[in-house]
Parts: sequence; structure tokens; C-alpha cells
Amino acid sequence: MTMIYLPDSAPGPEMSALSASPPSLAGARIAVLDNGKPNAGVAMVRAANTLASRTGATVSLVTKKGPQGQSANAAEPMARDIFERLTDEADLVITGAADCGSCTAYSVQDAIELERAGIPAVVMTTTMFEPITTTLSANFGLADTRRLVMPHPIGGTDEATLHQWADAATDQLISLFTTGA
Amino acid sequence: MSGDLNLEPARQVMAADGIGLSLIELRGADAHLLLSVIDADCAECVLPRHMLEPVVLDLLRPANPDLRAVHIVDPRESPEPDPTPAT
Repeated sequence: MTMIYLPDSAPGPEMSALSASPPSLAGARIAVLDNGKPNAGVAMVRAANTLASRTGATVSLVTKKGPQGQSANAAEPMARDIFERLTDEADLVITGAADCGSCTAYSVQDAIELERAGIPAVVMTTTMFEPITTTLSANFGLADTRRLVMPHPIGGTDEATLHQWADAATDQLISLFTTGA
Repeated sequence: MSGDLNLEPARQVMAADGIGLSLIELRGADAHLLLSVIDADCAECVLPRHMLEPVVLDLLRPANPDLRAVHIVDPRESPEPDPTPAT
């Protein structure tokens, strides 16, 4: 059999870089962008509150990603009005939960859009979906998205355990926001 | 590429979304896989095929370093059967 390889291909994604990381989080406004997955809000709000109390930041906005923040479909990108609120009202965003295929894809896409707008954005994923988060980040044009990897699963885990996981992730969250890694 | 394809690294992750993968055929270094929905509770959770193929390739490559491409037959893309009886 003869294999013929074409030298052309479809255009790749627009390549991006992380937005500038602040040297300190004191005074920063943190937003939580919730895709509505079970317990996503519980884990991310706890992480944001703990981060704020440790660093002198404030939690300025907690919203779902659908229009007017009233609801969310995890398999869609954030609504335009929510993007505008985030860029107006936040300096840092925690988004997720990236704990299924499509919710990972759109959480990564949302994070990249925010990074392009100059807002550092952390994607909360889980150990199970970390490989997918990594692959999709590269495929969408920003291989080095800020990824906070939690134990799996977030959905179905009790609130006290989620709070423990979120608290334990604070040092990593600080590092992701201030250094990108 | 010869021998069997180790699908386990991808199967474990895909199972979390309620889908299964099975090998249809290994043609050279290209794997042709069949996606099956084993739990449709979160149908929108499953990535569309064009996003799923590179993800599965990345998951399989560490255990199958010679693998070059993955092609997935996705039953979600199959057209509905024509209800009009043939004449």
C-alpha cells in the first residue's frame, strides 16, 4: 500500500500566551465562574474564599456561565454578558469544574478567552480529567493554561471533603495566579 | 504497527463520561475505534468526535508509542433511519 501525505492542513488555533501574573494577590478581586456541574460551586467558592482570606484579596463575583448568570450549560461557552462582567468586576477568575469531556473543553475555552483579555484564569479540573485538560489546552492554542487539579470526583463528594480539598489547594492556587505554574 | 492496541488508558477516562471504546481495526499506525454510549445520563458530557480523537490519541500514545492517528466511529453522528418504507 502506498501512503500519500499532504503537506497542507487546516489552519491551527490562534496561539496565545498567559496574561501577566500579578506579583501579589493583595487587593485583587476574585471571581468564580461556575458551569453548573454538581459541586463545582461548592469547591470553587471555598477555594476562592480561602485564597482571599490568605492573601488579602476579595471575592467580588460568583456567577454561573449562562446569560445573566441565571443558569449554566457546562457544554457551552460562557455567555457574552458574563464575559463582560468578569472583565469589569474581576482581576482573577476560577472556572470549572472540568470534570467531564465537554465541560473540560468549554472551561478551557473560557479560561483562554479570559487570559486573552488580560485576566488570569485557573481551570479547576480533577485527576481523571487532567490529561484531557492538557490536550485540549494545547489544541485550543494555550498549552500552559493554569490548571488546578483536584481529586476525582468533585460531583458526588461530600461538602466537608470538598472544603478540605479546596483548602489544601490554596498554595497551588496562589502559585498558579502569581507565576502561572 | 503490529499487535494489539492497549485501549485501557483511554477507556478509564472515557468511562467517567459514560462511554466505551472498542477497536474496529488497526490499519498500519491508524486505529479505527467504535464509540459506544454505556450511560447516557450526561449525553452532553461527551466530547464531539473532532475534539475526542486527539484526546484519545494523546491518552493512548504512552502505551502505544507507534500509534499515529485515531479515527472514531461515533454513533451520535449516524443519520436517523429513513422512516419512509422503500418502494
